[in-house]
Amino acid sequence: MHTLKAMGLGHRFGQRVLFRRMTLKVHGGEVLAVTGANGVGKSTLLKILAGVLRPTTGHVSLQVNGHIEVPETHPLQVGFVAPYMNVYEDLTGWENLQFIAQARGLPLPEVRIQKALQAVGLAARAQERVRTFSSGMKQRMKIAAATLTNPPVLILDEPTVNMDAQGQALCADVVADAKVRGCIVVIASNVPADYQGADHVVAIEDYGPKGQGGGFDTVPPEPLL
Amino acid sequence: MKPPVMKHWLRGAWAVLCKDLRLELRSRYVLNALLVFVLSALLVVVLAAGADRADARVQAGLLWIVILFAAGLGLGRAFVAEEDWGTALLLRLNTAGSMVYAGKLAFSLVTVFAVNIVLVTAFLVLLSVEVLHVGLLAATLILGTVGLSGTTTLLAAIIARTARSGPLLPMLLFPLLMPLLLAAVEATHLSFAGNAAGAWTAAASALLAMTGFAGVVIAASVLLFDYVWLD
Amino acid sequence: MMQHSFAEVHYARIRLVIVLWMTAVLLAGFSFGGYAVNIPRISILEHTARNLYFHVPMWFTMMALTALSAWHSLRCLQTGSPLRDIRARAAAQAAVVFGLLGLATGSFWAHYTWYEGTNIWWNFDPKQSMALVQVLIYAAYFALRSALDDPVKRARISAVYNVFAFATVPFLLYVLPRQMESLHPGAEGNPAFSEITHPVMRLVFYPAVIGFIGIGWLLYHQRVRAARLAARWASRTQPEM
Repeated sequence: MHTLKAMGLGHRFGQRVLFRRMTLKVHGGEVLAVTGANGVGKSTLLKILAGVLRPTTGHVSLQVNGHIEVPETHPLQVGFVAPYMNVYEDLTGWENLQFIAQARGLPLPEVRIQKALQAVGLAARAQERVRTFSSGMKQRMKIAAATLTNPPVLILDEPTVNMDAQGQALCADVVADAKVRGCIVVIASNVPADYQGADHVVAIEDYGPKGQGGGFDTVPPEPLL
Repeated sequence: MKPPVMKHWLRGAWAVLCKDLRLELRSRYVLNALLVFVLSALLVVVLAAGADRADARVQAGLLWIVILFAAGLGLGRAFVAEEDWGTALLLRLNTAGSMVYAGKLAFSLVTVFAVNIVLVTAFLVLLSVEVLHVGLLAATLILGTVGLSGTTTLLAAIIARTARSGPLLPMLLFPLLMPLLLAAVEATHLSFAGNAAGAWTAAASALLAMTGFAGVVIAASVLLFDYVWLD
Repeated sequence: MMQHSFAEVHYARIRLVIVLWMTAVLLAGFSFGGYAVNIPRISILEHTARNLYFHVPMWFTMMALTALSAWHSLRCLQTGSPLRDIRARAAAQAAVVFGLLGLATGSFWAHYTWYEGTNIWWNFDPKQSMALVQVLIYAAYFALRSALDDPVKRARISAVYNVFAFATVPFLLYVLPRQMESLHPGAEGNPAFSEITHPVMRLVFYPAVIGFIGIGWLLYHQRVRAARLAARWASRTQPEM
């Protein structure tokens, strides 16, 4: 069982308070949706939850199979898809995944890479440089990079941007698959279709300079379907 | 999960190095820029300073000035490129900081060393310098390359975190490299003009200073790198 | 809430002590046409030898402030405290002031003694070069700071540079003296400090060192207070975290 907890989280950029007094807890198999207008700190919150940004106050802890991750290894447990994170454009799709597998020392790299590329529908173009891909294909490539290691935490920032209907269906599949595997899924989006059926929703504005902060809204939105 | 053990760590650093080498061989961005720069700078120095008629001390100084400026101009991209490509986060999520530092340092060593070999060959040919102690010159170049790369790699990581990185690297780099530069010039001078028997002995303290410098900057970089690399 | 250290509570008193101390040092060194503490005449230097009371303490003060700055930068990395960053920057600023004053007093001194009648203002003396490099390092440190927008990042990244630079300085101390000739006592061919400095000069010299370090501390402390007030003012409209 995996658990992602945040206690009394607050973050400032310069003197400006983005959010404060945020406490939340997500278990494996659950989806947390983060909503809010552009610039209120959605991406900042996601980076903090991924362990790659230290919050100004409070702390985040991740338990994988009941063991607490130290801050150094926390980011290694996270698959991350975001507009501000890319794969190497001058490497081929295959080489990108090979680099990740090599850096992490994954067992059976070839089998995994092949599977990950097939899952996002890029197996046929694996030997072409990412530079030649369309933006939708690049987004699929990022999903392949994020899911290559079957991470216990999957964080998706605006995952359906640049995606056609087929791509959006792929995103939904990735989320559904992650839930089945018992992953913690965090989605930041303002497209309701992206986070329908989410177990928790956090609206950043509630924790902004004018909000009161405090507890965690556990009331899920009505599923659209 | 346990912290990375040695074998795991080496594999991570090796992966970063291989990735950088592969990207470099495809674009040849750094290598081309450095080679063109050092050769044209060398020509400028020879013609403007009349280096072909200068004494060995001045020639040694001019050689290291070219190396220093090449490093200041050409090695700043190591981390800026990762930020530009948006791949810094990919690295942070898949590797430990120390692996990235080691991989980038190794890449810098390979590049600077390759460029230095070309530069020194061209320098010796153009200026018809007779090297009396080839071994001493080689040792100086190797130690100088290690110290230079060790310093530049951490500073390159620093400037990648700034909003405007323009001419920042030379400004940060040059005052720090002063001791290395002076010792390297002294040792190089001795390799050109030292007397037959005592050149190594005379250069011993300069070589010692360069070794110590390289050791200290790399040790300090390893200790400090995570503060630069992580938010 | 600000926490008040001993120095902050008793700042005005400490300042008064330092001012009185420096007044006494100056009176001892220069009153009665310089005969209050009569110094022996050394050829070339003559009465200018009293510059020792200014020039050398400038270096001591700069070195003390440099070490202080590096120390606060190191603590800034360990604790992440914004106050450590303010202190590291203030110490660096004060160190630059004393570095420039040390360079100026040395340059003038040499020009009107050893180089009297020549056009020489600068000779590449190891200690002179060393101070210049230290000032350049701080110039780079301030340039780096101005290129970083987020205060948290600025504190951390500039602290790394400050500590890193401090680690390379000892090599300069080791390498420079073998490259250049020195006018300073103790260098090759020059008598040691203890041989040319008459005991009577030390009556003024040592108190002057203490006094200038005190002035350096005052300058540093004032800048820390001003920066803390500015930080509080800038965040006055923001809610508590």
